[in-house]
Amino acid sequence: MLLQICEPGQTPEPHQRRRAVGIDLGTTNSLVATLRSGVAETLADLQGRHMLPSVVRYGLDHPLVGHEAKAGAAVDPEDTIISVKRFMGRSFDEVVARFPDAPYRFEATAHGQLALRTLSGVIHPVQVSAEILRVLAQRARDSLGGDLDGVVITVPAYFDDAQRQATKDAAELAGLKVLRLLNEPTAASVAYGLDQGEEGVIAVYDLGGGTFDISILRLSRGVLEVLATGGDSQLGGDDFDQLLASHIGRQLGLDEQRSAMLRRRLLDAACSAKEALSAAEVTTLVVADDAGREHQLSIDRATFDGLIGELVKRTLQVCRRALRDAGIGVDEVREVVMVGGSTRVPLVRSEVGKLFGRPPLTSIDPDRVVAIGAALQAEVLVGNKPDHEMLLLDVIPLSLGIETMGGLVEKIIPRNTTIPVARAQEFTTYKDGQSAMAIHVLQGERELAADCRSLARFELRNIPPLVAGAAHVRVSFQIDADGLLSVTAQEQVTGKQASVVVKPAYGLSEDEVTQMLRASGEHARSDMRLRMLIEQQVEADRVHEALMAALASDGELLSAGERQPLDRALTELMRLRHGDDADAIKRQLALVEDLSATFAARRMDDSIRKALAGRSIEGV
Amino acid sequence: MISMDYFALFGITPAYQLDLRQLRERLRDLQREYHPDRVAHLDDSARHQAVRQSALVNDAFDTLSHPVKRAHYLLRRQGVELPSESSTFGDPTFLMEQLALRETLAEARAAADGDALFELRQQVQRSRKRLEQQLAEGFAAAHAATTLIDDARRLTFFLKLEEEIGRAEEALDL
Repeated sequence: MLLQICEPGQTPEPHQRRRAVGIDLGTTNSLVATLRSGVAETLADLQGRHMLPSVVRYGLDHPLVGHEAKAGAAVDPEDTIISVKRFMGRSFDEVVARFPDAPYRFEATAHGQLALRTLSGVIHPVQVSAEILRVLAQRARDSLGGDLDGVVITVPAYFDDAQRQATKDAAELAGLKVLRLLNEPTAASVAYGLDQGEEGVIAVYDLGGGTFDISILRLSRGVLEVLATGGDSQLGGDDFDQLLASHIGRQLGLDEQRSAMLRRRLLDAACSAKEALSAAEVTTLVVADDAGREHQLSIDRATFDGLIGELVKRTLQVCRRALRDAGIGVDEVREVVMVGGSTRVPLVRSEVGKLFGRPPLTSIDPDRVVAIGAALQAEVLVGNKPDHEMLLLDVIPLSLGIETMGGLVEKIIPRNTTIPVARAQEFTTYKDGQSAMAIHVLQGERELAADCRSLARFELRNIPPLVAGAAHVRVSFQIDADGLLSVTAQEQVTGKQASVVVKPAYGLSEDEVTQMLRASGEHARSDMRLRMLIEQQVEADRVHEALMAALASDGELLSAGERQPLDRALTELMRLRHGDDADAIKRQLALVEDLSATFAARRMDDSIRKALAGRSIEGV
Repeated sequence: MISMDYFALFGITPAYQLDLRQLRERLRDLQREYHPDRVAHLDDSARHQAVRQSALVNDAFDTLSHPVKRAHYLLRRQGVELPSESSTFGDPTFLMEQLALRETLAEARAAADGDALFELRQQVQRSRKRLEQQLAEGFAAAHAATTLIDDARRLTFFLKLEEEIGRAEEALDL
């Protein structure tokens, strides 16, 4: 809604410090960080542990999260969800094809989305992530002594719309206000203070447990700008573990396919060996088979390097491509930042150093660097540092397009376009009297729709019935600062708003999120309903107040005929606001929003014109 | 949604020739003012408004910084109706040249000849820059709209060719 005109960058009344945290919602581990006495640091649990394993174990009771859950992985692999980030925003078909060996009972929902059958019932990946977020948020509340005003959650730069949306849904499910989804590599640069430093090009090499990202950023005059991103959302240190586990199984003659528990033990042994090999040239490991017999094996670094060499090489190719996309030569890169636990692997460090011709930055713990950067950014975004000049500009990582005749993709917003961005496309009817149109939105670089990710399908309805080609529907795609897509449509001849019904392909519909909120616990249910009512009441008051003020000052922008239905709707809104039906308030709010859209647009137009009039005099 | 002059928004004189560095600096100033991050802690309506304003600023930059889009924008601004993209282009000599260049590209690609691709890129870049110069002069001297439209059209051919050369080079590297 465009009701309030407020000065960009303005902070409301001087407030006490707001509580803000940065959360690194990682594939393998997650962390929360905040600013204390001007220093950003990650927060530990009562046992002094900073990293929370991104593991949730579903039993008959409450789900276990973190270390406790991880301990259960070996005995109850089917109900212990590890690396759920890989499943976020993914369809059932994709996940089953990509992770045939995962020990989970995958199920497809009615929409083809992925769900996991556990002892606690059928669980959606978004719910798993929400459990992790809840634990971290509680840790932060305990540490800061109160509710959080906002969080910054990091995502791989490579995440597409569905994955970002799923992450945001998880935060909503956990009851958190998301200030921004921030790209992990950008957060890492902020942690090193590179945004305050010398101007130049920065490369961020981020090899985590489950994802690889390379970002090419440029810093100039206090603006950290993402020039290009590339990566592989399904390549990481877990793959090192898999390769090493298979190798160990082969060497010891243990068939890892035999049981999920053996596979888990082999993976644990591989992970420990990998970590040991970061410091030592050789290490010895012990694995018990299903009969409890112990097997010993010694592995040296050269063997490990041989196993992972191809994967490391793949990351370097992605780096070269990103440099080319950015139009940057290797010699122009001023700093290389290392992120993610897998960058402790000596082969990774040496190969990256070789590619860029300089030793990479490793002084901040590569596991914590992203959370620390996110905390610094959260502090700025929550409004605690109104004078702060830092501005992070992001790009859309994958092209956005629509399906055209013959299953081809027409790109509407090319990848690496700076966001926020809005583009419109006109469509016309091909039959006389046609009153509906189907549109399929895709994300990806491939030419064929079938090879791209399906983001949404929607139908434009209520198109005025005219002769073929006479009705022009303008569909506007808008991507916000978090990289999330929204769509609006308008018939051009009559100016009628065509209704858009978006069916998220792999994300969650608002109803599904609401449903999950409701289902998130017998006890929490009434609280949640009350919360939703209060939220709607607050929103109703806010909208009413804002509109009344706006109408008082700029009411002349509306004719009497336009004004009357709006006044009636506002009166009804206030009546409903004093009832207890949250849905009714919400519906009325939507009506008010519709009725005031013209007014809001005129006001914005008016205000920008005024602002511009001032600027062109000063600027020319 | 809003009829707004992009040149005024960026505080520069409307002309084809412009200082890209200055444009980029103005973009940063404008984003500093309008980016949704500046109002991340405020309510949804403020955030939504910032997204729209910020998107508008980005679109203006995208239009002004692109050599063909900028030409089209200047023409539309002067009230010139642009022909549709599918209309035929009546310069057989130019089209023959383009065909020849595309054949060279196809041969270099087939032979995986990196040097030939590099040579071709240099040649195409030179032609493209000449055209941009010609457009700048054309706009400055207020040449006929049809001439300017045709030059912009030629420029599109070169830009697409450059893109394809880039893709061919990329395919060789991997």
